[in-house]
Amino acid sequence: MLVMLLVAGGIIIYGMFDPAQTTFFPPCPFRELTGLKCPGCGSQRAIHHLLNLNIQAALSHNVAMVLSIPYIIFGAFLDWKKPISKTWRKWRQRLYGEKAIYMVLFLILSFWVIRNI
Amino acid sequence: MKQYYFTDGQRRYGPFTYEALQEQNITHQTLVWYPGLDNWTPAGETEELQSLFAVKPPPLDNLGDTPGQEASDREESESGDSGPGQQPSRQGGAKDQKAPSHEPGPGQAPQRAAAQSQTTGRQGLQGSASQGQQAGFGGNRTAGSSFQQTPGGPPTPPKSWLVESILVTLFCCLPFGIAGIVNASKVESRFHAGDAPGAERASSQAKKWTQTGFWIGLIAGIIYVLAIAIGGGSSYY
Repeated sequence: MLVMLLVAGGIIIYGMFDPAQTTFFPPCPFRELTGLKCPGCGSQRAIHHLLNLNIQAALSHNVAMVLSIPYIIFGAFLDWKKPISKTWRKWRQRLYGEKAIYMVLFLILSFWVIRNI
Repeated sequence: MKQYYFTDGQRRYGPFTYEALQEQNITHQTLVWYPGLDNWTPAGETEELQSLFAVKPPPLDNLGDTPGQEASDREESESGDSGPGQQPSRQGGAKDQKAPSHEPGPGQAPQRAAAQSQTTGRQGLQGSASQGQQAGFGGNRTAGSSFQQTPGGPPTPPKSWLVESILVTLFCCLPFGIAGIVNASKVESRFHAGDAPGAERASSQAKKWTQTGFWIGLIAGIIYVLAIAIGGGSSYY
């Protein structure tokens, strides 16, 4: 319920305002402190551009976040679909099993390093 | 939602909802407790949890006892069309038999837990579900749709919170999100090693980290917005 309200509110606010040009979006504390980008930096701006269907601008602000959206949606779908059939289970095992999770972790950490080089 | 606990004699597991309890391989001898019981009680002796066993065969050592006639009837009806899918759960029954179960007490519980975790990996829930239905044992209320749709498949692991962890990592609080992801991988690895309670623990750890991260992020965001609103927006960005 709370999550749904937040998502709805978020879509409106992030769709209407560009975080790059307004002051009331919270900046990343890691970036404020260190000057380096964290793996999530640019997500707010990317969402703004996505909601305005400007995919290229969104990708330029945070590639990882934009590319992970289908993965996140599919994962949430599998979580939600509780009596899970054999085929879906196989996909869940492949994409969200132990090895896949380590892969995700590795990708996030390497993205963190690479975007700061 | 009513909450249930069970123990292997050393640790307490839970709280579980009834649905979650169904996936915990509770046997007739497993000591359970829920509000309304005075003490830890073997699940087979509670009225409320009888429906759990609608999807699991009773232990084989009942064969010699009074309900023996019933039990052997069931064996016959099973052997009529026992497919490969049913084989593992019969082994599970045999293991239950090895664990002494005449006087269920805490001392015996660990053995039972070991037998359970050995079978968890191999024993498809479906195998036992179909047996329970054929036998018509107990209330058939729970031997229902959810298991029926997954013939021969293993039980599903507990929620790993992976999706939530990734969102927390990307949108607010990297350390909490990473901790959530690490715990998500533990959920999967422990579950597939047959350590269902361990997976359950990792799942609640993952939940703790992601939810902490989520709330910290939300509250920090609100405080920031309020501060900007009051301070008149002197910050850049």
